[in-house]
Amino acid sequence: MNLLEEVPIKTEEDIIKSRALAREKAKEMGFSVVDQTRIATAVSEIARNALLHGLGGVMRVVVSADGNCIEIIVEDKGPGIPDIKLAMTDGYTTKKGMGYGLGGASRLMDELAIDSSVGVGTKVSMKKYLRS
Amino acid sequence: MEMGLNQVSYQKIKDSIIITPKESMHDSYVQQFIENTLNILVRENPKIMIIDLSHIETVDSFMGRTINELVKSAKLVGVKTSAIGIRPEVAITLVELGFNLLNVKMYRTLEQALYNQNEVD
Repeated sequence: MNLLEEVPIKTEEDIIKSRALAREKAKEMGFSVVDQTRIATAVSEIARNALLHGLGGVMRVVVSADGNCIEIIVEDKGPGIPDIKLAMTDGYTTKKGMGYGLGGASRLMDELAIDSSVGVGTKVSMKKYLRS
Repeated sequence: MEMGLNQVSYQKIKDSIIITPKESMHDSYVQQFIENTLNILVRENPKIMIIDLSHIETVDSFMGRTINELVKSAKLVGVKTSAIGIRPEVAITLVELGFNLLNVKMYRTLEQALYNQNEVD
């Protein structure tokens, strides 16, 4: 795997920067406009979660060695998610979000994994594969 | 008619105000965008507000919520809303995201939106 770039998520502007970066990399890799939009939207949801719930964090974009898979990892050191299943439910929200973040992002991407420990932080990793 | 704070343009055609937000509206600007738009609606007194989404490349749930808030507020001041120009990739993404845009009548083109004003409620 090949680390491409890292964006801190500390302000609302960083959400736009992180999704712009993800879109740009996806475009370079040859993803369709629809997939680029899916990826950018999923990143926007997850980055906003990290900012609103996780007190900010960092986003990394990783491209697989064969150039066939984009992975986006968003990590924060916030309070963590006590009940991941509940957090994945559409409409569930604790703050000013719409409650579509995690569930929506998992539908837009091919894979989404959450690793969260209460009091430690949350790591969301999501992948999209190029269709051959 | 006038340019609003460079991230949104406002244009009046007949009884309609056409609102064109540009991509990447910052979260912090959203409240100002809604206030600005409401003030323009009250001042210009259009029958209908047409939101032009053709510049918008990404609609996440935050942007979706912003549009919904604008539509609800406009309704309270007596202005109905329709929207035009949504990109195919944005439509697909919104459906997969599971997000609903409330009470917004969608048209492909400005001409259709202007012509069918009476359909909008």
